Amino acid sequence: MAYIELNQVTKRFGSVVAVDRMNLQINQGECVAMLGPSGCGKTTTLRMVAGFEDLDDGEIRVGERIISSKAKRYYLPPEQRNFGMVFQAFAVWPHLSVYENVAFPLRIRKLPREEIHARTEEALKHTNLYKVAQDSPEGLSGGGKQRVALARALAIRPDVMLLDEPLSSLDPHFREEMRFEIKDLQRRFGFSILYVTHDQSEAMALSDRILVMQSGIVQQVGTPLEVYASPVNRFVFEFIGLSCFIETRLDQNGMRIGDTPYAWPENIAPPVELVLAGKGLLAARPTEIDFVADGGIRGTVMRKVYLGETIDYRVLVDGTEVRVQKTRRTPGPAIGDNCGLRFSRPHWYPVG
Amino acid sequence: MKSYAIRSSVVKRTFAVLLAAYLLVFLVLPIVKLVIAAITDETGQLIRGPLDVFFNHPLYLESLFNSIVVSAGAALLAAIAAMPIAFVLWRARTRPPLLVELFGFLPLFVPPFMLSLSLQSLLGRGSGLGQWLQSWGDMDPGLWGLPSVAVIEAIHYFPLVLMLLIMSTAAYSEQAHATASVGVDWRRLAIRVFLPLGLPGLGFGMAITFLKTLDDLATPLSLGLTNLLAPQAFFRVSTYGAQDPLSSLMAIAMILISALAWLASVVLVRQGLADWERPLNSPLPRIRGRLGTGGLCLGAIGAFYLVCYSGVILTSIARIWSYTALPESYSFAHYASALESETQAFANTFFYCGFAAVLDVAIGLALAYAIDHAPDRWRRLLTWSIASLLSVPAIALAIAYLQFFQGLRLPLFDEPLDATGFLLPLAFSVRGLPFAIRACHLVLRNVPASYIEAAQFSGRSRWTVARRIVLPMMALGLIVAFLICFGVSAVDLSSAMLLVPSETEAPISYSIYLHMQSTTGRGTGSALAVLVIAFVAIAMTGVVALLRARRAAAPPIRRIVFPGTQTH
Repeated sequence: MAYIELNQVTKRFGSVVAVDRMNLQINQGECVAMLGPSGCGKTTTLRMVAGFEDLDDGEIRVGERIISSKAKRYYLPPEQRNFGMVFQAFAVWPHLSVYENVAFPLRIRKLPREEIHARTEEALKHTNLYKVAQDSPEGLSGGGKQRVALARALAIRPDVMLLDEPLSSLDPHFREEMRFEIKDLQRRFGFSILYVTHDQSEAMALSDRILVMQSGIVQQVGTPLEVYASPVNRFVFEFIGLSCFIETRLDQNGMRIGDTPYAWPENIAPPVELVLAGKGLLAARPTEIDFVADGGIRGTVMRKVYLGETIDYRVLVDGTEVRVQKTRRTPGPAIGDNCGLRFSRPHWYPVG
Repeated sequence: MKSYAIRSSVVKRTFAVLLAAYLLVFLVLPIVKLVIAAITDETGQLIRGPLDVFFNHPLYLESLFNSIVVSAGAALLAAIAAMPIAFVLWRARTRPPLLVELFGFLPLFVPPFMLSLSLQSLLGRGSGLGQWLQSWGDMDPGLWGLPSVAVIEAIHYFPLVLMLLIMSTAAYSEQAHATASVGVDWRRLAIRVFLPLGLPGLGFGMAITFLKTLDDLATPLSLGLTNLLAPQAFFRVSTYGAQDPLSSLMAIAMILISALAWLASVVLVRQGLADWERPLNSPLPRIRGRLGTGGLCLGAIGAFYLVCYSGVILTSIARIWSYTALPESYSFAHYASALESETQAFANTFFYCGFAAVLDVAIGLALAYAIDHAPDRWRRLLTWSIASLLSVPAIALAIAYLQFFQGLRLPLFDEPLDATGFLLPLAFSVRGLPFAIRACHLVLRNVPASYIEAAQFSGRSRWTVARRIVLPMMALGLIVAFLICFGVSAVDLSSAMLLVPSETEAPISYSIYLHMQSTTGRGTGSALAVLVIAFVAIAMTGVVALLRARRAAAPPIRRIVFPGTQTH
């Protein structure tokens, strides 16, 4: 049974629907990342779960208890939800030491002194902050401050950890390191995570499932592999990973790109409804397109850029630029060469 | 359990109602009453008598004209003096030291009549230098007459204009500065780069100088000048009482002139209000320190002001000083007398200004929060409304209060409200509100929402979060806001002269003014003035040092407070 459950959750700001009838189930100990462009409603959803925004419709449950329900006019304040939250701006209080920052939530819950000390020490040790416990957080790096925020959230032993773009303010090096630390802490403590990010590699590395949102509507929920390999629509395909698209006209015999007729790609034919509609969008990952000497979709190499391990090609196919990426060890055409392209894992989507 | 929005909205609505009531009772209604008093008689019938008298009486027309010319002259003189110096400092990349930054804001916390009295001690007819000039070729030092008011006000407000200009131009990166300077003729640099960058600061500084000069009552009176609107309105109220329609008319004229000047300067400078606020929002200039031309400039300005204020300093330590260039003998007796006899005035000042400052900080926080969270259209309207408070002169507000609250008795007091002295801190608070809101705005930006939300997760009530997290984080900013409001009120002599019920209930600025009116009291008055200036200077130094220390210690917070700021 799902541990956190969002049923038909809706949020409006004036005439703008920020989150539209959202349904989501998160299991105990699972990490779900909400991914989407700015303004898609992911932070609003997180804030509704946290209790900082009211619901305009729907219900949120954690375990057996309802924490927000529009119909039942029920609302549990943030401080009673037993959630931990980590913010993008760290939100580490500058007037308290590292130790006091972590101990603060325990102190104001009036726990026994020994327990406060034990829990604070435990959180500090798990986040490698024990040596700087008495220092001011102002002297710490961005990564250090985010560790303090994590330790503070851990100390209360939360049921759920809410992470709002926690790594966006960090340097790339620290970002990678912190990803593993968060995952490691989750395994050790067993809490569920709802993670907001716009960085797909972060979402892929951390989460058990990814939820992709656009304009307040959930587009797809699935494992990182599902979302990457089987995107349900053009938006998800384009948003996750690199992509390129070719508009085609379709009929029973094959497809046309511009005026040039081609047979169906060898491994996947377009869905019937697209054939009946007469047009479709052929989509592919640049890494899943191969160069062939004969046959294939013909084009001319316009650009060839070395990116270290890979070479990035731009091939012009009847007015449409197609991006192809191959490892540097794979022989490829030169600029100006006419070449054939074979789509190894093509996807088909409706045009428009 | 009540929802987050409902819990928030109950508190917000309560605050909104209280705020609206405060602004209505202590600002809008008194001004409305002022207008009604100027154009109606006792029966409520519209009359045009006061208007006819005002526009047909040469003295009043002359006063109106003089007020506009003197205020504009002071603003222009201050700008003309500040521009070349600011350009030299900008070009030489001189970082003004702490003392100079402090010095730049002193005019807001020291009344200009102190400069007038100081210059009179040095150059007046009774001074040694004045005597010498008169005996040597019958030269009159000319420290009287309307041009003197403009010159004194210009000298007084010059540091403020200069500081705002420096801040305005320093809000850009050093790279932009260097790019602009490469191979460009200095005249072109001044016109094409420096002036457009400095315009918001210059416009703001000039507007403040104009409004403050128009509102200044004590400086013209200290020079024996009465043919200006402020002294005329003051005399009419003193002679005929607060209900005199002509004094109301003069107060309205001053409000209109101030509002027009404020608007005209905004339009002329062609800057939005947000741009005007830039110099105040910008971090202190962070230009590489280098002495040389800039240092010399600052040194010369410092020496000039030391000479200007040496009159007050010398008078405060002079035992006998008459018809000689310097005092004949010195003593600290005036300081002892000042501290001994003016204890009540100090206490009154702390009560009036402290009360006003507490009120200002509380209201300023609520209004700054409301402005921050209002929809765009409302935010602009609120910002403009609050900024327009600057164009309500103290003397006009004081007359409006006397009319509106006359005879009103509070339940717990035996006396009418206008006889209790409570009107003065209320007037101070309304006048200090624009400064309070600006300061509180910065205070609020020091505590981003996520810091509070992080605390809310900790599992306790909002009040605990406010007490343990929000207040400690805002403490320094609130102290600064309090001191600014306190200082602005402490120099508001125009309100004090009309609203204090008796001399024993007067604040320190009024006591200084009264002492300076008599020959025997000048020493004590000067000692008080020096003590006040020293107190303000020390308080400002402390605040600036604390702010700098915090900024240096907290770069991430600075980045949050000034997100667009480039540091170099």
